[in-house]
Amino acid sequence: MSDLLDRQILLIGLPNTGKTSFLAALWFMVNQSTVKCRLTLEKLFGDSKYLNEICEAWLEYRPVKRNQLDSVKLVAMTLKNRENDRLVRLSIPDLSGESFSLQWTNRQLTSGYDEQLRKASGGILFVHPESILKPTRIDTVTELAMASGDVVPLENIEQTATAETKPWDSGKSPTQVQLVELLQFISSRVHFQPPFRLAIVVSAWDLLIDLSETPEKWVSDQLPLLRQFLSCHKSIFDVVFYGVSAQGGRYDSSPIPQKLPAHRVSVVGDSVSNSHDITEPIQWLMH
Amino acid sequence: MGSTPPQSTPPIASTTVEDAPFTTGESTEGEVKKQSTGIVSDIIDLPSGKELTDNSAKLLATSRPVRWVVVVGPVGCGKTTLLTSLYELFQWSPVAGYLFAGSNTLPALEQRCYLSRVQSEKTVPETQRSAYKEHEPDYVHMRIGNDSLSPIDLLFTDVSGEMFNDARDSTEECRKLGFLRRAGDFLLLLDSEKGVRLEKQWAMVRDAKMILQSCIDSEMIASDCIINIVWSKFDHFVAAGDQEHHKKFREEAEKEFRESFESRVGHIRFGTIAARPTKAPSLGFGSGVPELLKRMNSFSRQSRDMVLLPQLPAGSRESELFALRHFDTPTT
Repeated sequence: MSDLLDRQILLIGLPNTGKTSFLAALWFMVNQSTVKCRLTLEKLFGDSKYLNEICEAWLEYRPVKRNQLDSVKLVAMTLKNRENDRLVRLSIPDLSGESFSLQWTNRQLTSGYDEQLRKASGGILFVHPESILKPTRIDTVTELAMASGDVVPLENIEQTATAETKPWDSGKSPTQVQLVELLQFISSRVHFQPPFRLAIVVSAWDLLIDLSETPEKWVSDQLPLLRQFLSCHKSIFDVVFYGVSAQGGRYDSSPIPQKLPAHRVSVVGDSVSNSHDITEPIQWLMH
Repeated sequence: MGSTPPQSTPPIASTTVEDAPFTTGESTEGEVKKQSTGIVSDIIDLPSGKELTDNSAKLLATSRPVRWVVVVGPVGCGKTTLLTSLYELFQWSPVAGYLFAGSNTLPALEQRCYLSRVQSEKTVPETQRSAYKEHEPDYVHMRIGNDSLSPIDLLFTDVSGEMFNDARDSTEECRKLGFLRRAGDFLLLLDSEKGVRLEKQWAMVRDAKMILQSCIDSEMIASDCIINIVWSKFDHFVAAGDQEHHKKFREEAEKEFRESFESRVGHIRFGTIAARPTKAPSLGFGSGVPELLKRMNSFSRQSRDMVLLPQLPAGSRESELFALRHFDTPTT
């Protein structure tokens, strides 16, 4: 076991972006034989209770239990690379999405997260198409309404005197702004070593499949500020885009599709060779 | 908008569990839970992201060259709206070929945009009024770049128009506005809303002229500072009748500025913006703002900016610069 590599990767993402679902599907996929994944489970390592729990929920089409705000699950697995038989011990801290939101709203992080960041050789940044807050301006909404004949032009509108202004809630800031800030925080840590490999994973890709877009194009269109930021910092963040469907559909839809579990997973991206192999992003991060 | 602490990262702050937003505990295998009692000391404070004070802006400028952009004009002429519209434009696409490369004041920018966003539940977009602080400006920061250009750090003043009232009336007072000396770009806004009103237009122009004259006479503007005189809220002119008259007025006003100042400043340019063109929506949000950004950057005086404040030691890695720029600004 002398050539065992130790690698740690971070799962980064705001709440409800599919981090734990990804982990559940990963745990299943590295230990099955239907799909030949690049990385396979070599042997169990340490406590797999949490991984087994979320994997069971995944197999039973149950929502994966959301991670608690005040806890971090550090999972570990020993994997083998099929191509070269090299063994790698992969550690993945599974933090709650709220803990990332709080970096933006409360302007704090924990030394525990900081330490994991220090050890990480790369990270996966999750975005979910259904949990994106956009910076929608009043004038754009008014324009749309005017086009449909619903409202009078903006210049003719008086501000409703009685209308209370809702106080600013930083937690409702646009998703792309919060993500840029998270990346700024990461890159500002003293121990940060560029280039930092960052896989951008668009979760629930099956919801977007009709758009016939690439994940990169989708991110460029939906999160343009984030895309611009990444384009400007190519020497700091080495980025690849993936679209991942880890659940294989909505859990509330019925009937449950007749699919082999391994075929519920689909992965798209420029460098993806096997569309069911959820280990592709992991493999890229460990290079 | 209160004052902002310097953008340096305190090491590790101790805080009680009740105060802690979250804690990850030790990074060991399995679940690590928040301690139920006692003091924890594993919370690291991150920079507030609020507007920068004059001191914290200067500290930022020690880490890398910045462009100081002073935005000048009376109360309500659209100074903050100009800044927020530039930021809002980046939210949707690159602006004038520039990409958004980050900001140390993201929450501050977000807060300033809030009243023009749907979330505020307002029916008509507004801009948060900048707080009046006697001689100390606030700054918002935006970093821009593109494939062919090194990133540029822009520090925009965001001050109440009241700050310039005394400066207009007295060179002594003007000299108290020390931040003016750093200006690489001096954006003087002429309020078109007043420009379309016969009883207001020349008073507005004179007011702006006197501010500029006071800044020049008190030697607060460097000779190579680029003076951009910008008709703000230009949609008011577009929507007004008698276009010929208004055009003539603007030409006359611009001539006044040229004749008074062209020989005294390095560069003087004119432009128009309609950051939020409610009177002529067809102009499109942020009309003229990309052109202004382009115009500013086409007359770079980066070299002067670079010598204004000490630079980092040579050979600093990009990541170190990035870290310094964001949070670990030296305190010396």
